[in-house]
Amino acid sequence: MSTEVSRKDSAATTAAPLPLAVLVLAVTAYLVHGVVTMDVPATATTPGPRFFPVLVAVVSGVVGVALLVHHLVLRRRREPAPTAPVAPSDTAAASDTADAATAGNPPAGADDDRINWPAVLAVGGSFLLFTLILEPVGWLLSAAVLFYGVLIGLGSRRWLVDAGIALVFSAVVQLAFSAGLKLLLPAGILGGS
Amino acid sequence: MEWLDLLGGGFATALTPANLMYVFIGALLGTAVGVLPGLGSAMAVALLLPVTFTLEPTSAFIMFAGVYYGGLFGDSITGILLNTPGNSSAIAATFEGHKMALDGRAPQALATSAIGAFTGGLIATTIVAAGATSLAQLATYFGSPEFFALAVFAFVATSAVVADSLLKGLAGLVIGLALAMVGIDGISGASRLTLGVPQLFDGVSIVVIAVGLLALGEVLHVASRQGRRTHVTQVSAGGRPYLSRAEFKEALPAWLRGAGWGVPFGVIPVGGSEIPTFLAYGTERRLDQRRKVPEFGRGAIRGVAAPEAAGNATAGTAMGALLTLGLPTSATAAIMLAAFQQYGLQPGPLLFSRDGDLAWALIASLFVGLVVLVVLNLPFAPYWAKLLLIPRRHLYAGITVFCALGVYGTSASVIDVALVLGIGLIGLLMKRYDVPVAPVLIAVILGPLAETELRRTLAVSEGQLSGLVSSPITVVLYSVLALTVLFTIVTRVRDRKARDL
Repeated sequence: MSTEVSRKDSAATTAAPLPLAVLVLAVTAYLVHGVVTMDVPATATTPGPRFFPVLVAVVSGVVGVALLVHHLVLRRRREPAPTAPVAPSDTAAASDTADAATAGNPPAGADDDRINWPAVLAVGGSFLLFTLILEPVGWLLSAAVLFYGVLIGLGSRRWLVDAGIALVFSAVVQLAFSAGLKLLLPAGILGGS
Repeated sequence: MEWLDLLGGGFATALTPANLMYVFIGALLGTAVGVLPGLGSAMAVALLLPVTFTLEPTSAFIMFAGVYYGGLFGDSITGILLNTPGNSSAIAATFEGHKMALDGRAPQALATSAIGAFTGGLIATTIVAAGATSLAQLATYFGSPEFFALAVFAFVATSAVVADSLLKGLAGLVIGLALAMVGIDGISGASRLTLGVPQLFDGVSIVVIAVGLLALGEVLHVASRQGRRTHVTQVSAGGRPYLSRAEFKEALPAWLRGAGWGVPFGVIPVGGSEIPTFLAYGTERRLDQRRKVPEFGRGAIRGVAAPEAAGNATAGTAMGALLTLGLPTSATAAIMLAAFQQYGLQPGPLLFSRDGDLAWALIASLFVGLVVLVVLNLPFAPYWAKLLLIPRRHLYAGITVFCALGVYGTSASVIDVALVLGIGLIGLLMKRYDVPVAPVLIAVILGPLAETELRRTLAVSEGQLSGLVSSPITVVLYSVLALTVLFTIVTRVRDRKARDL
């Protein structure tokens, strides 16, 4: 995976990112809530259903706090210490869009690493929309909407052509899986039987 | 040599024309998915899971074998041609493999990779076949304390030893454990962490988690980086992908050594085959340095041969461990385990005593999958790379739809699809901040097992912690773990000191 270096808080962000600390603490909170509100049947033997969650909550709490502390400590130091060598040229042969793992060539540190929120919202939003409309509206249209949403989110500007492609793709999948492999896909408003 | 007879019976069951067609299709689809950027063999299996539902177990598994091996090869293709391996197990081979491609020897690199995969897989699967009955017997010695010790070993190894950052590894681990605990507790019947939502009573499926973290997470990650410059050098791979005699002789010892590294690791649950591939690569590199004319750095065939053989050998023994011990040692194995359970089958020693014919047919399928892989991919490898000519955004849009299809197809529940989105967002966070995904998956896979066995052990020993280290196996496991942790700490401290100097 590529390691990105930002100008400020670099060591803090790479070694102990704040969002991660928040996530782990949220998990801890969820676990604690779950343990406290758990409805334990009277027949439960010890160690009961609360045992393991408590164990994990303790570890999780420790890790979350450690991450938070580590982050604050590193941020206070404010030394921009890159954790990976920065490539001299920015023709990093490793593709940005396929950085499952980049071998050999270190990524260019010159790019900024802000999250492109509109794109993420477009993709995530399409997926959420899909979840909501799948059963009422049916596979064909919902999947087309999903496909289209992701295309737009990833920067496509060919409004009509891509809408067409989305519909065709969705139809092909429906045919292949529903008719071909008998997988049940909702028919929604377009379906008769 | 009783196992040869049993294996022969397995081949007879497995080798029907229909099954051959299935494994062929599986290998095709698996390679196609493996070639796609950001996806790998685990995704290939997860996304194509619904496809196998209409088939019966033998056919489904033989298709899986094709998908799995195809996916592994797809990972290597992108690594060699594009310097972007589809999976961490393909990284080690990419170092020299891409150099070979840049040197105009891409077809040879691909051929070495395919034959290496075949060799490694063949050796591993043969060992599994020969040892299946003994392994199944060994499994009967494993009781609750032993399984718990094994799970702890996996947790610690994956999050602390393998991961670069202890805190990040542990973060992944607790996230996975929390996810694993959602649902109705098997032992007591209490509903846990479900917030009263009925669809969560069965827990969160491994398919949902794997698809969310690996596939949707990747799409979201790509979206988050939308707008940056990308520069991919794609090397064309035209030319006959055959090895000359000299190259074959050169690669052969590397294949064998790589397989030697790979075989043991399939049984050790450390979350994948990265380690053996790197060990194999390291070995070849050190051996190469002793030669008069070192080849590493300019495209050495052995640098591709050994890691590829290691990776597939690990995959082979991992499959074997799944079948004979019922122990999943990787995400793909866990997904296959879930698939088995959908058919009402329980891999492990019981499988061999109850459904012996099926079990041996499955092992035979692994062999068939290997052969199909080589036959299919050796001549056609360069063409797979053409898939990448499809514009990236269309690829990712298609992947997203397949995520939805895969999850909905498996569970027919919209709640699961919504969960995939939530987990995908967590995946985005993890990819962005370099949090390793393996600990999460291992926690989800082995978490329930760990909890059940821990509680059973403590129930039997009536709360005495000594019950956990009551047998020689547990003592050995914990000691090895302690030593490994110690070794890791020492190396890390030493590295840090060296860096500071």
